[in-house]
Amino acid sequence: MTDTIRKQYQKQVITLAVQAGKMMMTNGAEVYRVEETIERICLACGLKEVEVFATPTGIIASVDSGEEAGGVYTKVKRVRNTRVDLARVSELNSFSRMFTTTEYSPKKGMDKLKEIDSIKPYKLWKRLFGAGIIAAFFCWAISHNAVDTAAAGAIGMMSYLFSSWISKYSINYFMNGMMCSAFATFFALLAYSTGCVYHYDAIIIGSIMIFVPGVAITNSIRDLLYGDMISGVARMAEACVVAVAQAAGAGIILKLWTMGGSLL
Amino acid sequence: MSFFISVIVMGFVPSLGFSILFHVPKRLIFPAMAVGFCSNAAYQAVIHTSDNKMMACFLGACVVGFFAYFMARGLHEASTVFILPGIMPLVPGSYMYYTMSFLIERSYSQAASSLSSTLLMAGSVALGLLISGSILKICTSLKRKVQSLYE
Repeated sequence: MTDTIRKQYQKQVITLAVQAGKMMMTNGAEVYRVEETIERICLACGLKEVEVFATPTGIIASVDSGEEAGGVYTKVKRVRNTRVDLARVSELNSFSRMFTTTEYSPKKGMDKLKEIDSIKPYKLWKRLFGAGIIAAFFCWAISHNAVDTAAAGAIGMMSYLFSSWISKYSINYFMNGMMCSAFATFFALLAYSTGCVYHYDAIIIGSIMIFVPGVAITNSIRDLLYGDMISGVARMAEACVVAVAQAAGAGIILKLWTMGGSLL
Repeated sequence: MSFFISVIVMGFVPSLGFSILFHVPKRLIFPAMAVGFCSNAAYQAVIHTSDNKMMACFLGACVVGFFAYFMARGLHEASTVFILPGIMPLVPGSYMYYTMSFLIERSYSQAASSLSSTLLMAGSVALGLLISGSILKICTSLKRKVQSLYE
């Protein structure tokens, strides 16, 4: 191998590895899995030394071919806009296993990554159905009332639709959580004021459960367990901020509603 | 009787919903629902016998941790795929809401007690995952040690 070809190869490998890691991170994998994937891909391609430092907001990877003439390559990748898509995580997981166990050129790997990146989530009506049944059943668990449950299902669907609509405008996640829960609260109070439902709080809780930061809590704990302290603390902070945002959104509307009611 | 019906329905339905929202692949939705069902069965059993929500969350999360690990082992998948839909129904969203609603009613002592149970329940979910994860890690390393002794 001549020098330039070797350098090109090294560059391709690290680009592929970091891209795979970034995709895992944005789709809700834990930090240790991201680091392990990047390391495995680089080692499988014959690079001798790999060091990875991944956090939920960025990945730093550095490889050394181990030869005297070979240089050290470092790549920094910023990670933004995390959203959970477990189909991609599962595909990336099997991709990294395939890549390390079978012969796979970095170029072919890059094509495969593009293919994984084009996986779409379930169709909107299916997701709406999911959101509806989540809202309905958490409402049922609290109020045990059929009308409330139906209303919660409908409001849950509406607020999920609203959240997928506003997420197109890349609003920060604090405002996103706040607006979604404010939306749900407003419609729950509206339904309550018509007199057909009995427990508006159960409806609000049902709709909030769709947006609750459970993923951040879970992943932060697993990060802490594997010794990734910075990531664990960062994700814990994210969970707290989202929870506060949701509570604030619901609280503002509740307060405004009672104030408006006393004016009338 | 209604207890058993609620266990069965409440176990499957929320984890189905979260599986759809998180885009769990179609062939894994049923295993993910099964994990949710088992965790909910543990949760409901504790609630039914002792009415201790923290213990219920803890045991539910433990069950999720163990089942997800074995499912992931058996199906060659990342365990996250099973853990996330399983854990979401245990997150104390209702207590979060009540804390906020007590706060705007200015009943601070009730808000404080509600906030502390929110934090404790979230903490026990976390602890359940942590402990099941640690036990599984210890078990796998012990197994490896024993295997290396025999070779």
